[in-house]
Amino acid sequence: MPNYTVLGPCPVQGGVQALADDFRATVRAHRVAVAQACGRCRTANFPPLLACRSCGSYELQWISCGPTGTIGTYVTVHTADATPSMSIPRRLLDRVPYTSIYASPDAVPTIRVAALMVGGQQERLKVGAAVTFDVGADLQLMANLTPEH
Amino acid sequence: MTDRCAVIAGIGEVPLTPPGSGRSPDFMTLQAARAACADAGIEPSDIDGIVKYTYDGSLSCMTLAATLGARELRAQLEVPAGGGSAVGLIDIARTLVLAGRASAVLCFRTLTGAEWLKQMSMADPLRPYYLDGVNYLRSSGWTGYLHLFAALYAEYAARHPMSRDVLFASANLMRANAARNPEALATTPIDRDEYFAESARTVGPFTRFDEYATADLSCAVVVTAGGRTDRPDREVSIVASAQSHGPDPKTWFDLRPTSASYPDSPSSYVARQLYAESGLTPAAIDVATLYDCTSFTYLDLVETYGLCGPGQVAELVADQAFRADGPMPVNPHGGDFAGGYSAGFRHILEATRQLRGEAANQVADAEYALVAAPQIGPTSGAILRRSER
Repeated sequence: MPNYTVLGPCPVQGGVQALADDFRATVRAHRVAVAQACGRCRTANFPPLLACRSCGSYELQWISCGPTGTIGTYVTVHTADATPSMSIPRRLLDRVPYTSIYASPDAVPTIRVAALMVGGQQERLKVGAAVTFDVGADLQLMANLTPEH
Repeated sequence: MTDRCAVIAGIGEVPLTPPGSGRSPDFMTLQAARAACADAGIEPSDIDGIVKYTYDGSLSCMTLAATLGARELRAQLEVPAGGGSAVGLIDIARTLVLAGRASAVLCFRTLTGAEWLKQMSMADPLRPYYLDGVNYLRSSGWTGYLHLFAALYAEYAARHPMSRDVLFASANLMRANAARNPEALATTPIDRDEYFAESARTVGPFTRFDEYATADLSCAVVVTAGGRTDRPDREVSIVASAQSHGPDPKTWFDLRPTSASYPDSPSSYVARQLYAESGLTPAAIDVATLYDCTSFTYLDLVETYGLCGPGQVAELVADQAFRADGPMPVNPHGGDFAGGYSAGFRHILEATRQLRGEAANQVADAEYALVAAPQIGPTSGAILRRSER
């Protein structure tokens, strides 16, 4: 069962870009891993939608996914020397190698959130590993392997 | 289902070249469309339906119809599913023909190098929804389509035998097939030391050798009712076709790694539909042409479409099973991977050539072909059959 904390209402009437702006504002205000849940049936979703995909309700909420999760899949970027089909975010060019983590929060295991991992811990990465979430001053959601890994 | 049968009546393309040929995508499209009509033995003016990829920067349906001199264009559609559109075009053309809403439907795909990447990711006020990838994935390092297939690789490799050694062998296997196809672009074996050099690594398990060969190309297919052409022996029947967005639909292709549906995917849903409609099992498939933007993409599809059991595809690579004379021919032309990237559309042309017995790297006595688009986003597939001879 989901075991999340409600952060506040998630208005959908403004459309998809307003939803994304509100998502960022919610991350800024709470500095946690944020997802969306239905206020009526409690179904969680990420990335957020304009209506609950389970019951159709417009009464949606922003939720905190809690501090821990499990890696569902991941992608390490090994080079800043991109091929023509790659576009590395400019602000990450000097952080290569870095890894995009897609992790299921333990409090909301039905969804996956996207986080960034850097540093030597990447050599110990595997699907199923436990991570903790952290949001820094730059508002980026970071994932770190828990010590036992 | 009616007794009517839709067939691939004609295929056509312009010579495939490396990128930078300077040829006009508009003019290449027109030439490929005319070649497909000629192959079907119909007049371009007979075309009364056109189905195209949305993300194709050449001619619009109405422009192409006007230029072909179409007497009456009765149906025009765009399919916005990226590589997943490939067989979707044919599925829609078949549906129009079976419904009696069009009698000769032209489908096409034109690419000039990697221009499509720019087209799919540029800001466009008419389709702001692409921003979901930017809004929710970009900050954690999203780099483009390779991310999708690298994420899929990690999910697969956590459960089944798979390694970079398998990818190295897979890439060379496709190049070996391509070497028997005179027009393919990447035909020389990849050197082991170069492949495994740290400097070659890009994203996830991939190296710069694991990406498709880029090309300038245009190819077209004409779908009609069976028995319409003067050469019914060259008609290829569409015995089953399907599209699906799968079990966990997302608002944009790139969001697939946020789904936990593995091993189910849009492709596993299409596979079930194809075998249900055709009444066939995977054992009936004589040759498969599977979407192959990376050295791993098609390997996952081999399993998704039941051509082997879960976790067995690495053994097939080791056994060179995908050669034209192997036990399970896959992409005998070298695929898009080594042949030249067509967003998967040339797989339909290759399957048609195989079933006609006209392929450069011919599979002996092929009766049924499977064609499949990628496992991300809305996708598509078909089972084709040669005509009774």
